Amino acid sequence: MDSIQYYSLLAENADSEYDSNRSFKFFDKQLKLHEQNNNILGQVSILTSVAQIEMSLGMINESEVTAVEAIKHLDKITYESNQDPYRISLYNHLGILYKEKKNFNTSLYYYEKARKLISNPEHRITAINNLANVYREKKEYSKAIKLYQDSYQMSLSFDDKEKTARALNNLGKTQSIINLPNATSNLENALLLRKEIKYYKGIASSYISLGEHYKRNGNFSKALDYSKKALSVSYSSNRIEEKLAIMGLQFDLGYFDNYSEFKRLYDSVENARNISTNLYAAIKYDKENAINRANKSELNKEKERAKKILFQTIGLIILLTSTFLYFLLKSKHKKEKLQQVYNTETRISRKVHDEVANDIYHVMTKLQRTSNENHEILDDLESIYTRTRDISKENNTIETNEHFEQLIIDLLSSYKNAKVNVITKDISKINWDNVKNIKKVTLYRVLQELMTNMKKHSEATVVVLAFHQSQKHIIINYTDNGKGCRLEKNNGLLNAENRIATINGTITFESEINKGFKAKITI
Amino acid sequence: MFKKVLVSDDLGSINQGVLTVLDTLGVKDIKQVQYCDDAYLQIKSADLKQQPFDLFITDLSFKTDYRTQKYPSGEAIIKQLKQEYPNLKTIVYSVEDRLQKVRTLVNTHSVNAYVCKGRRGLIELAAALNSVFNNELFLSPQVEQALSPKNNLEIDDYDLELLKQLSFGYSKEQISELFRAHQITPSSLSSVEKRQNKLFIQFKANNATHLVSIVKDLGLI
Repeated sequence: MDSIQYYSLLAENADSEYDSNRSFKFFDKQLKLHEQNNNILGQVSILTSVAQIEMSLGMINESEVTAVEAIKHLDKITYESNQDPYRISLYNHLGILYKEKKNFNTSLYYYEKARKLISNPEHRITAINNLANVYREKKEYSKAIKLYQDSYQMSLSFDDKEKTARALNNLGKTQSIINLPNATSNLENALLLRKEIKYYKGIASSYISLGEHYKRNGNFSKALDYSKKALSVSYSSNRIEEKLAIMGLQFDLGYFDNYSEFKRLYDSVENARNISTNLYAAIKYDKENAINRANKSELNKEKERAKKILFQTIGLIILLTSTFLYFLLKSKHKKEKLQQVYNTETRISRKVHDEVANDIYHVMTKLQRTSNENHEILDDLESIYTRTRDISKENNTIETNEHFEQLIIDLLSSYKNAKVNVITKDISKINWDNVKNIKKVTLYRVLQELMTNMKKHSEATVVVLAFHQSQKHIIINYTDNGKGCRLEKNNGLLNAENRIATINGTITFESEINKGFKAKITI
Repeated sequence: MFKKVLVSDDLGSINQGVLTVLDTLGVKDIKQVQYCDDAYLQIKSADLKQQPFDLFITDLSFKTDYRTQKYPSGEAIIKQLKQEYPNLKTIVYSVEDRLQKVRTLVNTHSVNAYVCKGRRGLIELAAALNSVFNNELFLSPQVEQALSPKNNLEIDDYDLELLKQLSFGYSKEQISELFRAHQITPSSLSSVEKRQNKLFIQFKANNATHLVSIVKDLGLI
């Protein structure tokens, strides 16, 4: 006995989930092994065994799927005659299966296919017998009888008594159903043949057939006689279903002596069936579970993946948002700071202007009104007044919404006097429309610082401011012909540098003693 | 001279100076206020009594105090008054000397004079009163340029080309020829001469040599 047979038996006779599981696992493993080796016939053979086990366990639908799968495997490969035995057993299996499902036409279809493939004539007798059985079940008795007769003739020609007896018995049974005269003799001949070869299972079957035959003919005593004979032959065997059938016949005939025995056997069969059903349910559950588990794990993996992607996306979004927010807040903070500086400047400017300058002027007018004007004091006061106003002007409000070019020209013009001339180049070619206010204000202040610095220290007579617009920047080159300085940054220049830095612009200075002063502003 | 004048300034003593000037000029009916809102009410009531003011002299900035003002600045009240009483003459008398402000007030709000407070403020105010009375615009000298339409700061590529040619030692006659040959306009001798003179002034140069030396020092050529 090889392992396939062993496990087939184990599965079919399993009385515990453990055994059946072991078998199915074994077959699964074998199947995978054959799959890996691309051994189609091996796979078919395993699937056939599994289909048969499933069938014997009552898992008819599963068996059908398995058998069809096996056939599909066979159809995949090019036909060779060595595949025939596999096909025959599968077709026979499906024939039995569909007969069980009362789907007679399909059953006939497969039995017919099997019969055509069978080259061994002795085996063909069985095939014909199978077909005839289906026709009988289908109640197409004449067709069945015809086939049984064929089967009988063939068996005779091979001198195969067992098969001859089977054919005769079946023939007789069918004839009995439709009440044909030859039934009795055929049934009796079959019995004789079976007795001759001491085929006890057959003998019991013949007794039953005869019992049923006489029951049909209304000869109940003879029928009961045969049923008792059948039971005695069957007695020592373990063919419980056969025994039950016989007792059932006896009950039909009104003989209930074996009732308790029937009850016992029936219960044991029922019990076995229950076990089998439970087993079947368990196996089915296990299989489904396995599939579910596989699906679940796939699903979980998918979920994990989705989760991962989700987390990554969220992470990325958070990162981007926080980066964006960081820069936004930073720039906002910078803007606020600039605005604050600017606000403070203008506030102080206003205070200096409104309170100090006005008050000094007030004192001046008072002095002017006195009869003897003190010109010396008035001169001093005027100087203070002017300087106060200058401080105020350096920090006052810049209304950038007005024409900015004019604003710069006004600023530069205010530094023009008898000693200094201010010259601009290409200021009219700059487009200020797209320059932000904060940049304008800063530039204005920086130019103011430069000009104030010039006025205070340079002794220059000419100042040139050349404006240039590139694609991204505005560049202003400041040049004067003053005495220059060592580039120790004084407050004003440092201020200019700081201011330009706040708007991401640059300013560079270039100067030597007596070589004038140059600055390049880029915003 | 003006018959009825309103003076608005938050410093009474400044008003005193103005009053003296007005007095000297023979103005008899003078009212003074220290808040713009008061100025508005005065003018409104005078108009309702059919004894309107014919001149309004005002400062621009007013210190804020406990009184909330509808018109917080001279500019605000001027704007309002010019809408309601376009014929009321107005003189601004202020410390403010930003050209931008002057330009806005004169061009947009049509003030008739802008006088800067200063050592010569009262003298200029007197001049302004006379001008305005004769329907002339008056601006203090330090803000005069606010309205000069063209600034004389700008030089252009033509000027640079001219300077370049001068630096090569060409005379203005030669440059005129050259410009004509290269179709640089204007190329007439008089135009070139005019430009050269403008450059002399702008760069404070005494002659062509001096001019070239200055612009070279400045790195323009």
